[in-house]
Amino acid sequence: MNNKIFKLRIILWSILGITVLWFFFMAIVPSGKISYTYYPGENNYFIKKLTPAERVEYGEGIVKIIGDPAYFSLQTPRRFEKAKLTMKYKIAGTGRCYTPAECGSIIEAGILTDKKIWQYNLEPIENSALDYLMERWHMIREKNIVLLQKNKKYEKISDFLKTPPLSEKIAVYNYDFKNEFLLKNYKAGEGITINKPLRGAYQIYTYLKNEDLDFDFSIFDLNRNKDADDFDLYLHYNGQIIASRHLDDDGNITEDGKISGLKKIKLSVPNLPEGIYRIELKANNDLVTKEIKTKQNKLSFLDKIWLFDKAGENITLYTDSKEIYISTINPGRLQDIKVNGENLAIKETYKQFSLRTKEKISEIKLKKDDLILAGGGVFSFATSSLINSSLKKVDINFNSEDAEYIIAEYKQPREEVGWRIAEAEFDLTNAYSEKNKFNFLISVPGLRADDNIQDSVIIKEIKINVEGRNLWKFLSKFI
Amino acid sequence: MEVFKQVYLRLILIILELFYVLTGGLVIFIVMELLWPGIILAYFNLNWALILWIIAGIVILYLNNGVIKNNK
Repeated sequence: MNNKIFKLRIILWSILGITVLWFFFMAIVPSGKISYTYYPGENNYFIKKLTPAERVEYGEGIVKIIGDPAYFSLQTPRRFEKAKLTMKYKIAGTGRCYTPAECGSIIEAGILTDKKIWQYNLEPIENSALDYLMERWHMIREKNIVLLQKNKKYEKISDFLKTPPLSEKIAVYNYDFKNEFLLKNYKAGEGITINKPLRGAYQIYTYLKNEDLDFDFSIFDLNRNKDADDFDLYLHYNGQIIASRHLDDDGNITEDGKISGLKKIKLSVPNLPEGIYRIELKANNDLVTKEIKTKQNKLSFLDKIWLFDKAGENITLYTDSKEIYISTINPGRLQDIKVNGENLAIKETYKQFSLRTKEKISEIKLKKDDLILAGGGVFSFATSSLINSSLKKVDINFNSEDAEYIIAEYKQPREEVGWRIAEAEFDLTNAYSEKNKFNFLISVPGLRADDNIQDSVIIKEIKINVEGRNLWKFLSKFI
Repeated sequence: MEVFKQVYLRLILIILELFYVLTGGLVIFIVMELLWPGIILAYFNLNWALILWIIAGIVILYLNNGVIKNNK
């Protein structure tokens, strides 16, 4: 009897031992590669369900994204370096269209890279405008780089890159096309002063020719949020950071709402070559830029600008965006806005209102301040200071008449029994994480939960393959 | 009657062994989870082990009227 019980004891404790080893094996991932799969509706420790509730609908084994964007997170047991996301999905509904001339549908997946300014690194999942043109225009593909030509002129992508056509004829998608942007007849002027307070982060385009770069920023801290409100200024040229400045928090990391004194920061760099420069201010929404003073003649805000609630009344802005998104978080700033004379009513807080325009340059007239303006272009306070070196992007507003050449880094999704399967790769070393928890988003520009159109992106499966150092490489560090 | 008694005794001893291993397992798993969050909970809900452990404990307390002591 005792012998049998002893044998049972050995077996049970061995099972426990093997289980413990298995748990360690799964957490350490000795091979450095592991795959996690999420099926909508199930509880998954590694890939959490899609949120927010008002923009997703769960069904039998599927989840519908009905509004842009939706978020999910990936929890890994240890550090990994790369993640490959594979999404099984389909597009449903009557409201979406499949030709670039109509509206196009774009799905992108992104990973959070900077929490301070909520910056995501986006990778394409599907671009129906590109898919449409890939079947109709002449296409050259080299790995994931695609060159589309309305009329065939180039035999190789390298030929196109060596002798590109005029930038007006080129559109890009997910590709960093280095085009030389020079303004004819540009002369250094008297400079610009922007005394409309701006909240949070922003990016500026400016232009230099035979002059020093000279910017003075006056900044104060609202102290409405708990975190430390330090900020960084970066000067970019040709995709490289060539200068930077850092300013620490005012010392008050509470949320007492006590406004700090004015801090001045100067960005001055002499002897720079002629060209367009991008200044990036990385800051959270507690920081307000009261004034920007520059000796430069051109100054435009890229993609987004938030006018603080002391910016004043009757403000006019100019933009080259084809679609303009405006929102406010201040109930006292609900208003009717005129975009090229057309009315855009801001009726609710925390909701983005948009308007499409065909004008090359649009005039936006605001009655009141404290509005967040966004779009796929630049904003400025005067038409003369508008500058944008960005090439046309194959986005939801793209029309096949807009360009003759398209260069993109894009892989078409493949079809599998009524479902599409797309892949996107992310660098986890540059991504933001908290205890190995990474934040992802799925963006479907133009998809709205409140437009009474029954359109959605239906997801059946999200699979993430992560890759990192294997155990042997890790141990070899210590040997 | 003797056969029934033997089976009954064996069952109690099996449950007792199970109780010991569950006790050890729970302690190990909880310590592992505290040291490396997610290592266990990612794959296994500890509540099930806890429920099984409680049931085993109750069964042993209920059935054990000196049987185990006398037959060990």
